This record gives sequence, structure tokens and C-alpha cells, in this order.
Amino acid sequence: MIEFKNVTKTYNSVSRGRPVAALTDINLKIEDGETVFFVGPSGAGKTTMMRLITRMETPTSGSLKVNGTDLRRIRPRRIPEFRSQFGVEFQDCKLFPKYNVYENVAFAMRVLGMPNRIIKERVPRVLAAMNIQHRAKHFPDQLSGGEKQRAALARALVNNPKILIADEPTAGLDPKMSKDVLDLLVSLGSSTKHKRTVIIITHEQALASAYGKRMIRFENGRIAEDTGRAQE
Amino acid sequence: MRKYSLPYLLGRSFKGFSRNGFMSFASVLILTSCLLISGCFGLLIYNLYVNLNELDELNEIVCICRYDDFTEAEHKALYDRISSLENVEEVQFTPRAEALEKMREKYAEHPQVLERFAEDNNPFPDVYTIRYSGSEAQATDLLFTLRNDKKFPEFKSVEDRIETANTLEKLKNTVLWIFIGFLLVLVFISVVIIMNTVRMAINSRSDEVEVMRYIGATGWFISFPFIFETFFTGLISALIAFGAQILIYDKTMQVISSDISVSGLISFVPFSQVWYVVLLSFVGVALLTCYIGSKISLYKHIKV
Repeated sequence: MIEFKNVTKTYNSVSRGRPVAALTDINLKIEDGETVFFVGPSGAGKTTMMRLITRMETPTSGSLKVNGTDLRRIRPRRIPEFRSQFGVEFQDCKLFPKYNVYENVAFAMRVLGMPNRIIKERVPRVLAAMNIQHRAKHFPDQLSGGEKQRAALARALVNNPKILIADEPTAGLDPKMSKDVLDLLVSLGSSTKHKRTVIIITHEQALASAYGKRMIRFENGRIAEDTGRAQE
Repeated sequence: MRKYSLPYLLGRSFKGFSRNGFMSFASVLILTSCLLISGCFGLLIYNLYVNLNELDELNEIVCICRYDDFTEAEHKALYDRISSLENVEEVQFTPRAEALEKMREKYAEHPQVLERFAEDNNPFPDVYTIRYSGSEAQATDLLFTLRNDKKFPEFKSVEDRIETANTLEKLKNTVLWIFIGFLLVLVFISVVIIMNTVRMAINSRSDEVEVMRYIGATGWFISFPFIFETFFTGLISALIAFGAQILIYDKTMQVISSDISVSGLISFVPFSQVWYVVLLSFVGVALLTCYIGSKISLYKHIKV
């Protein structure tokens, strides 16, 4: 479970000469296995939410717990272990241009020190599940936008994360491809095999609302609307 | 406990090194130059030390006999009188014939220098070499006694190196401190260059670093390739600098040994006697510099 209690995050702005609030007084609970859309315009605080959940940033005030771990008190040396429960799909995919698709996906397993035997067994399986196995030897610049997203998703999923976060997965895709990618993400959250929490960050509210899943709308660093049952 | 594959990490380091291309090349050049300058300076100082120590012992007084026709009994009496003096540790008598022979051995490669001298026109005098102990004041007292014509009329002149010894000691210390200062400046420059190289490597792989951090890479996993990339730089620089050092040293020795007026004054330690010290120093300094530079840069730019 992810639990925000009165979380505020401010940054020191050099240009403005005073702290700027990215998020203000956020109260939120996301249950295990939930699929949630974070929607809102650019600068509303969606990506800061992701950075807080993954402990890339710490809250300025308030309490934030992820699966029982208090992120304001976690010891620095435990952070890598904490982060290993996440799979993250980035806005611009962040596939490594010098690695082919297979190597890009395998990289996520190497980060966690997985042995080659398991990498060789698991990567093709995940690529097949993402329907991109035929592109395993191709490099990112040889892939279409949708294929890149699926390759990035394969990398995010290969470690079987408890929490999957997709940051603007439809950015730069045409409507058809956007729908395909979102269908895939939502299906991952609906899987009964893995009780996986899926957080999809997007500015395409209309597209997100079509899935009937919980949707949290951010505006100016505050929650403007939460359609979910679990909001505090 | 995660088990990382060392060959994989080393492979990533090597790829990173080759991907950095021009910057890696520039770092190698600068680090090589710094090592080479330090090496040349260091070897110069080492040779200076060796030469200074070879300048017959500095705690010696050399007494040159006024006449070369003393009998053996006269020499024995003189030897005993010198030996009985306070602070005298050892007395060595070198007959003029032996002195000529020694010089012939020293200049064996240039026999023409002494060929016109024989026993009847030997230019060398009989000499007593006295090794003493004690303070500078005691040495001065001993010198005063030996130079007293009434006590030792047999001596034409008495040479000492007390002042020379002091001056050389000061010179050695000054040169050593200059070398240390110089070395620190060069190490500082190298560290800055390595820091900059690592910063550029981090910038060019910022996506890779971000992805690693998001999915739980340890600081060690993130920093290892960057540190080892610089180790490649350090090792290559050390080896190139070592090769260049051999050539420079050889060339310098050739130039000096070809000129008798210089080679008579200065002797160079053969490189075969110091090569391992030079190699280990180059590798050690290069790796240490790279480690410090990369750690500072990694801490500054990605906080690992």
C-alpha cells in the first residue's frame, strides 16, 4: 500500500529566490493491486509524485509510506533494496541506444545482480509477453514508437515488480498506439496472477477515463479530484 | 546480497572508456604528461642523491703529503699519530702509485687520458684519508690540529668537506621539497582532469544512471564502471609514460656517457636497477589519482 499523509514537497528555486511548492498537502492511499491514473496538465505535480514514491525525492513535510516503509526514515543503504520492488517506464522510454532490445531488458536484471542463467530464461519470456520478441536483436532507433514503449515496458516488468509506474507512456504516440499501450498497462494491473499496483501518469484525461479505473487529477500541486474509493 | 558479474562490469567499463573517445584520449595524454614529468624529475633527484652520496664520503678529511719520499717507518709513525687523535674513526693511506692505478681503472674506457703518466711522472701525491665522527665543532677541531704545521709538517694541504656536506644537505632537502610540491601540483591537475572526464561520462550516460537508480541499483553498481573506466585511463597512461621514460632515460645516458667531461662528473643509475620502482610508482600514482578524481566526481554529480 502507498500512503501519503499531508505530504508537501517544495524545491528551492534559485531564480525566484524562495521555495516553490511542487506538491501541497497530499493525502492519498493506493491499495495493493490497484490501477490508478495520475492525470493533470504539465507542472501539476504528477512526476514529483512518482519521484516521491520511488524515494528519488523525500517529502519536505508529512508522512509517506510504501509497503510499510517510512520513506522519511529509510536508511540510505536500504534504498536500493526498496527500489527493487518498482518497475518504471519512462516518459521518453530511456532505452539505451547502444544496446539492442534484449540487452536493454536484460540490463534491468543485471542491476539487481541476477545470474545469466535466469536472465536467459526470463528475458525472452517477457519479450514474448509484450509481443516484441521478433525485435530482440534490434536497436532502439530501429523500432517504432509503440515498439519502443513495449520494449521499455518489458524492461520495467522483467524483475516482476510489485509496483509498476508508467510516466506518460503515450507521449508521442498516435491515438491507436496510445490505446494499445494503455490497454496493455491496464491489463497488467488486472492480472490476478500478480497482485501488482499500476500507476499510470498521463495528461490524456479523456483517454484514461475510458478505462473506468481510479483517476486522480492534479492541479497546481494539489489533488483536484480523486474518483477512487480509497482516498482519505 | 546481490552477486554482480565481474566480467560484465569490466566489459561495461571498457565500453564506457572506448565510447568516451576523445575525452578518454585527452585524459590519457594529460595523465601521461604529468606522470612523465614527475618521473623525469624524480629520477633526476634520485640520481642527484646517488651522485652526492658517491662523492667520496662527506665525513672525510683528505691530507695530501708534502713529499713523496717518506720511508715506510715514517709512514707508520705518521699513521699512528693520526690514529691517536680524538674523533678519528679510520685512517686510510693511499700511495701515489695506487692512486694512479685507481684512476686508470676509472677511466678504462678512455685510456688516452692517463697514458702519458708513469711511475716516474706520477701526478698523484701520497694521501691519507681520515674518516671522523662527532659534531661539526669536533670535526673543526680535528681539522685545525691536522692543519697545524708544527704538529703535522708532513702535510702540504688538508682538505675537508664539512661546509660542502652542509650545503649539499640543504640542497638535497630543498630539491626534495620542490619535487614534493611539484608532484602535488601535477597530481592536483590530474585529479581535476579525471573529475572532468567522469563528469562528461556521467552526462553522456545520464539516462542509464537514472534508470539504474530508479530500479534499485546499488551505489557500487552505478559507480564501478565509471571508476574502472578511469582505471583504464590510468593504466594506459602509466604504461605509455613508462615506455617514454625508458626512451628518455636511455637517450640522456647516451648523451652523457658520450662526453667524458660530463661522465667523469656524473654517474647515472642504470634504468635496469630502478625500472620496477618507476613502473610501480607510475601505476600506483595513476590509479590513486583516478580513484580520487572519479570518487569526487561521482559524489558531486550523482551522490554515490
